Amino acid sequence: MSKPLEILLLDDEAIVGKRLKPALGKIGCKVEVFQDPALAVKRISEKEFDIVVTDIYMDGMDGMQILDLVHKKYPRTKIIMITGYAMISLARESMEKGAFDFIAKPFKPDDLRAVIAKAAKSLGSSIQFDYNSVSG
Amino acid sequence: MPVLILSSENKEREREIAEKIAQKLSYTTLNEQFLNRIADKHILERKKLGNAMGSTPSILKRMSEKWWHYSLSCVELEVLEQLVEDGCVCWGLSAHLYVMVISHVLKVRLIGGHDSISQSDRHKKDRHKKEIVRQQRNRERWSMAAFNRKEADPGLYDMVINLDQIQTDEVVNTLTTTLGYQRFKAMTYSTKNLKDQALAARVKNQLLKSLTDIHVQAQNGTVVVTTSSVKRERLKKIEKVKEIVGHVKGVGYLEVHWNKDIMTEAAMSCR
Amino acid sequence: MAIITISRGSYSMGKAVAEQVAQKLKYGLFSRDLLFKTSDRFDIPQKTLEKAIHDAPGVFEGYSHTKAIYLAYIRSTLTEMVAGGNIVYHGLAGHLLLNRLPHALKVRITANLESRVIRKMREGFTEQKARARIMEDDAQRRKWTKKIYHADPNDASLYDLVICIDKLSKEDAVEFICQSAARKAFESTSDHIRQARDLSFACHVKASLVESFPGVGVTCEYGNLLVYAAQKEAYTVKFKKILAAQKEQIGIHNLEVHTGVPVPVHAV
Repeated sequence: MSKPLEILLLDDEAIVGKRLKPALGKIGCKVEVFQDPALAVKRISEKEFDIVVTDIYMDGMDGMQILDLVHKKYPRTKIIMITGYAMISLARESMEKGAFDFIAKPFKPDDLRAVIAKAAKSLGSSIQFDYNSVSG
Repeated sequence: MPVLILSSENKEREREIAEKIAQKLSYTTLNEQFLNRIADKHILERKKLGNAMGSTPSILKRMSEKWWHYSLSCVELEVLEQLVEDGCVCWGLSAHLYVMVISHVLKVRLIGGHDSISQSDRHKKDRHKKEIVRQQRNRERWSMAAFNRKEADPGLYDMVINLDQIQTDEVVNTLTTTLGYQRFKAMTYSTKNLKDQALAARVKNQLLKSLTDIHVQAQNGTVVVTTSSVKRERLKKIEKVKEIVGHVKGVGYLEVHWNKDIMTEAAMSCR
Repeated sequence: MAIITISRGSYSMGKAVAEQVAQKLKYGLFSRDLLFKTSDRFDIPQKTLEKAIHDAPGVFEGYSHTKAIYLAYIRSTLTEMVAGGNIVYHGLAGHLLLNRLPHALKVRITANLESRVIRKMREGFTEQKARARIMEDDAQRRKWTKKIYHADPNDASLYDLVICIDKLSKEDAVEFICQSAARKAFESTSDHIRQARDLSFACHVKASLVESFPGVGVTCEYGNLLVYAAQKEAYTVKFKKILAAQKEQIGIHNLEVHTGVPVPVHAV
């Protein structure tokens, strides 16, 4: 069996981590959840994750800074941006800066699982998830 | 993959540019030929559908307003559903008027480029100019009536390119490069936006089969229908909307907003 | 060797785009300097010039003679400044003042109202005030171009390229403009340089005549200058004196005065 995907999930709303951690656990991912961006940054400096999922608007540090940081430090890591304030300019900026995907809140756990499965595929890993079955 | 939507009054150059880009990027193409499939699928007369795409309803053309709006909604629906499968160059189907703010869709308007047609003969040139102005006016009238948007409004596009000075190959190169930028990559957010627009079009299409004055928006499976009628028919119309939308695939939650049809009420009170 | 004009609404980031284009192409850049130069050259306060080209004429004011004079002065300075090429101009109405130059790359940068309001709010305005100011500014500019040039600044056909800065980025806009400037159509060929110089001559002569003879029209081709004037104007000593001085000053090959014929549409 291949090594489980290691994911860092950062969102200042506790409910997001609480809901998504078990949802991603079900598809065999190992998830570390953070609410405080500073703690997440500290963890990122210690460890290379396969995937980082980050909210954009948070107190103290925004997700775009996390994106820059992770992208520079670990070019292999796939970064997925999530936000409740989705705008076309922000979406395009995120992609330009190297985000793997951009998801607007609210979304269903299946939506994130589908994106994680795509990211896993591009990392050369595989996850048992039929992402084509997720409809808009 | 990104989607490119072109709009132009110069059909020949538009087609040439669209086909070259599609070939260069190995994208699929979506153009007026797609109307054949739409006509077959929705059982519409092909010639009449073609007319509906270029002219406003009139008794002389045996085209009622109701049929006109319905046939356009068939085009809108089918084009949007096709665009969800990305990596496509689309032109000649007025998609620039109903595909709105999707981050992986690049909308470009091509203007000018008519000069070579009659450079030598001044008389001919003037006539040609007049004809272009007439066509532009007709298109503006049509686009306002059909989608409440002015086709020539630069605000509808990411870019407007004047073909008088910039050559076909240069446009092809510029647009090909642009479509390769990371920011035009399809993402979950933009694909979802496009699917929402396709869902709204599906609902509108079903409603326009039997109702008129329908506006639909969709987000995350939640559909908001705005309609109007005279006051006494309010409940009846809302019920009908609910009944029809209930059968449309993909609708999670429905909200119906109703406005009073002031014009009809005023006309009726004068009787 | 191109001439690039960048037209923009307020808070559309057009200035930043213009600066980056100039930097990338190593071109000269100017906007307000046009007013400074015109002010120096014609001895008119900058504020007066600025008001003349920014504020639309009032309802009862019409398009006054004074404004026509100032505009002729500004145009004369502008055509002189761009004649050598390698220049980016991002001030008001560049695309209209230089519309006789086919090789000038005319660009418009647009942005949607919402993003412009956000940018204005960063200067400490409330949303309502920011929106009102931007809309007022747009209305003034629209009125101005309509009154003077019978054109709408939002009419895409006045430009070679219109770029929406919200949907594409500032960097994309810079890239497109630089790519377009390199196109053959915008190269400074000897013919294009000659056309720019001819326009500059015509505008120069118009500027010298406009105060006393507002109705004159001037054209110039291959250094041959044609002045269109009413008969009674053309015979005045003042008219002859001005033209003689101009002929000497700017080195015109040939100068002809035409009377009793309508001013051609392409005259300045």
